[in-house]
Formats: sequence, structure tokens, C-alpha cells
Amino acid sequence: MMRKIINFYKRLHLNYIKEIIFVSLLNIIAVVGCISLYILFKQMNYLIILPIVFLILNACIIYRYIYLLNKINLDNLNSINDSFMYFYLEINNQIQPLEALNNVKSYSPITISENLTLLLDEYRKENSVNSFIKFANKYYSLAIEDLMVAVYEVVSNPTNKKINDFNKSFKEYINRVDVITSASHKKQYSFITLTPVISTGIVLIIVIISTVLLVRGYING
Amino acid sequence: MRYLFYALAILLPAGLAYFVSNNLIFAGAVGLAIFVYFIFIEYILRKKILVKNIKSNDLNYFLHDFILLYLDKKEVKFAIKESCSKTSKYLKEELRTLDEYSGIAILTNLENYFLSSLYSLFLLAIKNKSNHLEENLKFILNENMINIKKKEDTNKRNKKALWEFSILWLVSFIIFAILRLSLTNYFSKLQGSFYYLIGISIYFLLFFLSINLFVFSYYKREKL
Repeated sequence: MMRKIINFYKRLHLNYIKEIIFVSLLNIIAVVGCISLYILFKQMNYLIILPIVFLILNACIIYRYIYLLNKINLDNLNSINDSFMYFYLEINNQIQPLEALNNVKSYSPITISENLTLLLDEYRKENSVNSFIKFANKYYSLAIEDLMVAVYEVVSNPTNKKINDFNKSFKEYINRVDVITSASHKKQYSFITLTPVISTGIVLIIVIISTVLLVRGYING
Repeated sequence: MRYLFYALAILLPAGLAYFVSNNLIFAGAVGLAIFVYFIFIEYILRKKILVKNIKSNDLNYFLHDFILLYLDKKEVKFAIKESCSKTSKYLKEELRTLDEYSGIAILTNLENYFLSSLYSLFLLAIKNKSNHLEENLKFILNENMINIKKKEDTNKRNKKALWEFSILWLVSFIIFAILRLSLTNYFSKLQGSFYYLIGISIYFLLFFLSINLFVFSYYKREKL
């Protein structure tokens, strides 16, 4: 369980210790704040709103994680796209695929460059698709995994047919990135356009709760 | 038009806040929070995004025209001169300062202006001058066209979302205002209620949060 939590924060590029302390602190402040207000003013209202504060606070934290996860996934897809454009260009310029893959490192962001170094080291030792799959697994994306299998095919057997196959796979990857990006943008908007509906619901809930309280007041005299 | 939109987005919720709470301080706080937020958008976020968009558009126009002209005439300097007709004054100014350099040197210097991975790829292709230069440039041209299409799609999506977002919030305001109007006596009793105050605070807080989320999605950093 703990390992899963640590891996989740690592995926978000967050320090898990700092983040767990931050989230716990926020929740403790909310709970202690409401209880202190109750003790100070002796009104049950402050205890009743505690679950609402708790829910809103944690909903915001979860939304932040979803937003970060989505952003990191898109950034990874785009960075791999940019890096492998050089690979595409070089293998189509008759440069040996393995050498081209090595050259890609110098045009890539540091994290991709480091992962490519590991990939090349492992590939030279094992000579199998495994190192490419391991590289792809670091980005949690099927599109990247498919692309890396295509890269392996061309690296292990650099014939013209394989280069053409890679070209097709790479163009497919570019289209997939485009589709994923626009779907993510639409999803974000569909969530945002829900907020006025939720707010209108809140207005109706306010009216209902207040009515119930008023009626209860009248009944109790 | 933009300022009218800002004015409406400040005055409508502030007016509604006063109408439903009968509390000038509460309404003032709602109006002020949104006003301060719009100043932030206008002077920090929007200015930064505008510069990026100008450069991004320059890159699209420049690459498109340059590649077509270069494939036709095979002259770098001629292609550079002729491909800045649709670009911004900033790029034209940049090119004027680089006028005495050779074609390749001008293109190399422009890398700092565009700061784009696609431009770096283009530069690599044009500097290498391999036998496959034509295919490479066509590939880059194709990528550039995809980027232009992506931008157009994003703009359309943004406009549609802005309309949907504005109309839905307007409907929400109208529902709240109608409830307040039709239940005048009832609302005057509610105004002192603790739950009512908490409820309307959450309502306006959600309004503020949704504006914030919308702005960040709308002005999402575009890939150059």
C-alpha cells in the first residue's frame, strides 16, 4: 500500500513526504479550526459544516492530483514526440538507427536523455525488446509503448521495409498525441462547465435546508 | 468587447451578491476579488501568452512560406526575405538586425527568437543538407500544418467553451435572482441564517474557482 502511494507521488514528480505532511496539515487545520470555533462560540453549526469543509478541501486536493497527472502525461507524450522527430529524420537520412537513437539524447530533455542512456546500455547487453518496453513503462502510456516497439523493430533490423513501417508508426503516434491532447482539453472544459450546474444545485440545497430549519423553528415555537 | 466582458463578469456577481445577501461588504468583497483577479489576468497572464502566441504564429507562417520558397528556388536568403510578409513586426525587426549575415547564420540566430523544437529540427535539416533534404523539409512542413490545424481547433474549442460557460453561469444567476424575487419575505428571514451565509459564500467561492479553472484552460500554454 505504502509503496503504491510512494509510486503515485513519484509519478506526479512530488516529494511524497512533503506532500503527505502538507495534505495532513491542511486537514488537521480544517478539523481543529471547526472544533475551536465550536468550543469558542458553543454553536453546533461549526461542527455540522466540518464534513462540508473536509469534502471541499479534499476534492480540491484530488482535482490538483488529476490535473498534475494529466499535465505530466501530455508533457511526456509531447517530449517523446519532439525527441523522436530527430530519430525519424536521422534514420530517413540513412543514419544507422542505433546511432540515431544515441544522437536523439543530445536533443532531448534531461529525463528522456537519461532514460535513453539506460535503454541503450541495456539493449547492448540484452539485445531484446525488453529494454524498450522498460523505457516505455516509465511513461505509463500505451502510445509510447507502441512507438518504442516500432523503434526496436527498426533498431534490431534496419531494412528499408522496417524504416517505412517505423515512419507509419511514428505518424500514427503523432495523430494519437493530437487526439489525446484534444480529448484532455475537452474533458477539462466539460468539468469546468459543470460548476455552474453544481452551484445552482447548491442554491436549491440552501433554500431547502433553510426552509427545513425555519419550519422546525416554528414547530418548536 | 473584452473590457465589456470583464465589466459584466464583475458587476453581475457583485450585484447578485448584494441582492441575495443585502450586505454591501459581502457584495464588495465578491466584486473586488474578481476585479483583482482580472487585473492579474490582463497584466501578467495575458501579456505572457500574447508574446508566445505572436512567436508561435510567426513560426507557422515563416516555416510554411520558407519551405515552399526554398523547395522552389533553393536559395536560403531569398526564401527568408520573402517569407516574412505575414509575420509580426517583432520578427521583421529581428530579421532587419540580422540582414548582413549569411542565410544559414540568420536561420541559426532565429533559433533564440522562436525557441521551438520544430524550428530546431528544421535548422538541423537545413544545415545537414543531406540527399533527403526535400523529404525532410516536406515532413517539417507537414508537422507545421498539423500545428496550425491544432491551433485552429483549440481556438474554436475555446470560443465554444467560453459561450457555454458564460451562458450557464448567467442561467445560474437568473435562477438565484428569480428565487430571491419570488420569495422576497422568505429571503429576508433567511438573510440572518448561518447556513444561508455559508451557502452563498460557497456559491460565490465556486464561481471564483470556476473562473480560475476556466482561465487556465483557456490560456493554456500553446506548444510552439
